Amino acid sequence: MPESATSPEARALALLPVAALAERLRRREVSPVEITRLYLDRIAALDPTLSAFITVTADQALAEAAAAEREIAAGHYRGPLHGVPVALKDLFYTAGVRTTAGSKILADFVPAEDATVVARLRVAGAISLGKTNLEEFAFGATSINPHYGACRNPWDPTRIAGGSSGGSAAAVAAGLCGAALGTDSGGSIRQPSALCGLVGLKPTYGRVSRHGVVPLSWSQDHVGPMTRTVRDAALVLQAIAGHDPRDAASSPAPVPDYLADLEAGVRGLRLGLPRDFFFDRVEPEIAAAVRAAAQTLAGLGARVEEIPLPHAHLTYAAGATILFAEAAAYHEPWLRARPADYGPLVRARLHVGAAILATDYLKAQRARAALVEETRRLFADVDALLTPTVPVAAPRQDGDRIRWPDGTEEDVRGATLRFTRPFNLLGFPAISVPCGFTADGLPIGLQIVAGPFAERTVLQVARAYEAATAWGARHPAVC
Amino acid sequence: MPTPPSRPSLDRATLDALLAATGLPIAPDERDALLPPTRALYEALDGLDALPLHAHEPAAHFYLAAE
Repeated sequence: MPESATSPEARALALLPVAALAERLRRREVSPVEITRLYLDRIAALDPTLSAFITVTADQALAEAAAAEREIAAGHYRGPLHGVPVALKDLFYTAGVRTTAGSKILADFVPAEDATVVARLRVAGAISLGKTNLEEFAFGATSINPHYGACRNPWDPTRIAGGSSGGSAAAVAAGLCGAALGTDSGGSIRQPSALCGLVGLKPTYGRVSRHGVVPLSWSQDHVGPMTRTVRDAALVLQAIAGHDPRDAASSPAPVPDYLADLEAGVRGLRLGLPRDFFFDRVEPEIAAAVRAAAQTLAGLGARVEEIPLPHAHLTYAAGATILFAEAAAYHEPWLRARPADYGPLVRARLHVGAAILATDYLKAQRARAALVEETRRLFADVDALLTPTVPVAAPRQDGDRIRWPDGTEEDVRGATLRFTRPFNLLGFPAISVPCGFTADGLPIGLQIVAGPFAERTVLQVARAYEAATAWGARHPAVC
Repeated sequence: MPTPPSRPSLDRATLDALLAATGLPIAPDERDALLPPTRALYEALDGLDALPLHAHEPAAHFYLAAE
């Protein structure tokens, strides 16, 4: 591995926001081959520590980079993702490249076609560096994968990177790629983004195609960007959003310009700080950071008010029931034929799902309809909600329980997805943006949520906060 | 509608019967570990009776229907 891959100059280039890198690529100050080689060298240097990747497609990436270089040199610049190396959670189908879903069962699965979002990134000119590590079949929150190794947090490798899109988060945070795609069925984009100091966006259900994505929970699966800045999230969303006739839940609603209002600020916006649920059982320094973020936004001209969310606690029962039952239904043939090929934790979760009654599944879906209606009404009074993304900082790799001062305990998965899961059930767009660090130097995430298809609002609020603070300028020492 | 009484807490025999109905091969020692999370989920489901469920059909592709 060339020593130059981790030099201060190389590090600065590798950690550039996509928007800034794109400008240098467009001006031909940096070539796609040069930046691709840099990321491949950094993967070789740092991934033995982080286990962020399951498959690195170096030869293919360099070939794609050479093609992008020729196109740009010939004046055929496609836009801000042209020549930008990205990483893909190993849940997305990639034509000719194995897609394991983090499992032994799909260890040798080589799709014949790309997922729709992967195809759209290719049309935009992005270069795929490879497939990132994740929780087995995306069914968990730690990315401690029994088959491909434990993904580690670049801010402290003794900590988890979160999950299930932990490899994508670690890769972006450590400067092993420009941006990454993740999936989110209970928080799997936002939780690892918060734990790794990134921006992670879960769009509205139906906004981004799920075609060619190994499912976990059909009615709660979302695809979205994981990036180092809010603008980068908007750029990636712009490339992947839009109707897909091959996804039955895909929305035909037109795709707006996500960059148009990005710098519009928050003056006059009404922001709700939930009185219930989202500040219960939260580490004090995380609650303080989120309240301080609300004050920052108020200082920028937003109207921040406390609001009631009396039924937020019920989203767990409905969301978990739907997720477990849908996952068990999808996995049933393999559970019957190859049970020993699952890791013990995911196999147990699938067995719990198999024991859910059909009437309970439908009860959860009826509750979902009631909660969606109730929450939609809330957005008549506020433009966005502010909550902590995760109630704790990145847990240790060897810790499986969170103990709270009131004597209660939660497992890591339940605790770290507690504030993200509601918005998978509801389908509303939600973003996590860095809002501080703990005394131990671990990142803290602020979650911003808006009504259906109001991605522009969450991006606008997130960008205003980002621009007023400097949290995103910090990077992990390991890289 | 009145809130219905809660179900009896899920016990091991009922869980065994449910799992037997699935036909899935599950080792006895694995069944021991399944009881607490399954029981917790069943108990959490009772909480949904606080919502006006009678007024709602199950959600399905709900945004497309709502837009």
